[in-house]
Amino acid sequence: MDNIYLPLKAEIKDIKEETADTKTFTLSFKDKKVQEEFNYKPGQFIELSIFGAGEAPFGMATSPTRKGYFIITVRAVGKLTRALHNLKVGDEVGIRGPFGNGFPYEEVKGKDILFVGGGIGLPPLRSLIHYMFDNRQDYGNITILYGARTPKDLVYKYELEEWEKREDIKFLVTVDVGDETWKKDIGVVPILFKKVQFDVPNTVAFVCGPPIMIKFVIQDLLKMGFKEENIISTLERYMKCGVGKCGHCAIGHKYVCIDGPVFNYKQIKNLPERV
Amino acid sequence: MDCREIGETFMKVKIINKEDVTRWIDKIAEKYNVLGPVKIKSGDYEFKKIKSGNEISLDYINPVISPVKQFLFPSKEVMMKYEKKGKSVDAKVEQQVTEKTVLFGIRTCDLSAMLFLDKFFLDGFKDTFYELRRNSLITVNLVCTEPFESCFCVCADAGPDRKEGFDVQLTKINGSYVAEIGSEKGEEIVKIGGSLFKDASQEDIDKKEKIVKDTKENKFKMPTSYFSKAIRHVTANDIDEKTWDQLASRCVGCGSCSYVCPTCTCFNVLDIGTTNKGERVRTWDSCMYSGFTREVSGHNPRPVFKDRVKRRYYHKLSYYYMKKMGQHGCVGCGRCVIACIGGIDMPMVSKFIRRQGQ
Repeated sequence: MDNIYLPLKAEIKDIKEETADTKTFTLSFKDKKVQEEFNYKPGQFIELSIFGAGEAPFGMATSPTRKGYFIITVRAVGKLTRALHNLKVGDEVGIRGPFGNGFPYEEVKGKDILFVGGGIGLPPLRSLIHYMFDNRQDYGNITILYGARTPKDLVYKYELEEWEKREDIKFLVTVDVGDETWKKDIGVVPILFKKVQFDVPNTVAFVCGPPIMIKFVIQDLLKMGFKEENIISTLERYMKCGVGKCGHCAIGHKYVCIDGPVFNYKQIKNLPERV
Repeated sequence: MDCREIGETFMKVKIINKEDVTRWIDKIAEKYNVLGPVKIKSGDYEFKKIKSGNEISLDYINPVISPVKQFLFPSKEVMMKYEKKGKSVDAKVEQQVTEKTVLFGIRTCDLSAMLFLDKFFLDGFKDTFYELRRNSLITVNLVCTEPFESCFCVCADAGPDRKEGFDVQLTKINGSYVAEIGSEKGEEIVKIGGSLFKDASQEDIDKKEKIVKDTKENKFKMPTSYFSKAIRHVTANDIDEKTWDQLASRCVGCGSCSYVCPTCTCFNVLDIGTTNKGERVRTWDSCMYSGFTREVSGHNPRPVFKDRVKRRYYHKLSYYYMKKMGQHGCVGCGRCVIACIGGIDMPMVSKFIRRQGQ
């Protein structure tokens, strides 16, 4: 009988410094067969263990179309994340998963897609962005809007340049506060809405970022005429088990871990608790 | 008579003399691990391992912690042990395969709670710790004919007897117990009793039915806790803030309600030890604690008592959860009535909610 709480061993293959407090970890299960069979949907998450420090959920930032590894991008804020930041390439962590519902990537085929990411809200979206890059013919226009506090807080800088060069997508980036080298937009993410055109009835928006950003972005999208069910976000809550048992992540009668983490605005709006 | 052929629930009814119950337990204890209600020094009762039926009293007062929850979902459980060897950490689940265990003499409310826990822990992702213990468990439940002051199982449709879901169900009639057998596991342990059991006559069964009916209609002292209106308002989320303010003002956030509640299942997981060696354990947790939802950033979606009291009763009573679980999250055992020092127990909350808007 497999125990759902027992993590499997994975190795840190690569570490990238993203910002002063954020790193990206490339992981791969030590057992090759486990890694090969590790199928997940964009938007799903894993539970990462460092024994002695604890366990916590992280959304995968890679697409399942890219085999052999998966990555997570983590800001050091608590006991576990700080312990993770202290690890080096070749070190071992425990992984359970994948968990959660994932993004509705099948249902939105043929639609125009809008991504709105803020700060460290980009990594979970990147999972779906890469998936769509790898299945580009299945989707309409793709627009990615990204914002962070300062240029230093942008993650995946090495990749954002490529996104800007791509001709099959539109990518815009802004920061709240610029510096002497910053030549692009300055201001919060919603200012970018004025610079792009959408076929609103045919567009699905994927939004992830800090709560305050999500709030204003959703307000603007609704004003533009987006239907509530076409605004999709991925939620975070304090979580332990990841499998609907420990009770921590419940919002109303939904569990972020098994009913989410991906919800559309209509579902979130009707929950009896603040999100 | 075995009724399976005619499409009815598998059910046999036997009868055993009160004095012979002790001998029956002795016989079961020769083969199985038996836990029964033993009086402890304080005068309270606790379900403990027994060797003989003499050690228990079936007129016991219900322990404050549900014996079913304590057995199937202990307050603290080692999930796995880990040890670092070189660069790698080996983690092993060390749950022993539990020997066959008979929980003898649990009250029907606790049996109903167990059926709730079964659905919760075994539907969807299977909780392996629970499953292993549950598979080893056989229950003998008592139909209460003398409810305690805080009891309201009859309002929760969870007692004093059950029509299904039991292994063996005992009802006291005069000097005997009517024993209904509800499963093959139940049949197994009644067989161990051998000639101590006789087939129950129709007269015995009628007598039993009459006693249960009389208990339901006349014996409950707290008949105030009908849930329907509370369920409606909690589900509609239309309870006025003043009602919640009043209720929450009496909460001290001690978490007792969750610990004593036989259907509360929330747990915390923590590592005890160093990064080199230790244990990952789970312990009961409570949604009444502010830390239950507090994130590492400091953000807390339920920062005040009111949010947490609302949460608890939404979970227990809302229709959405009932739909998921097939029953609401209260079996009327009355433990919260005894445990809550602020008096915000299930009957009180239902009463408050019923009263508002009138």
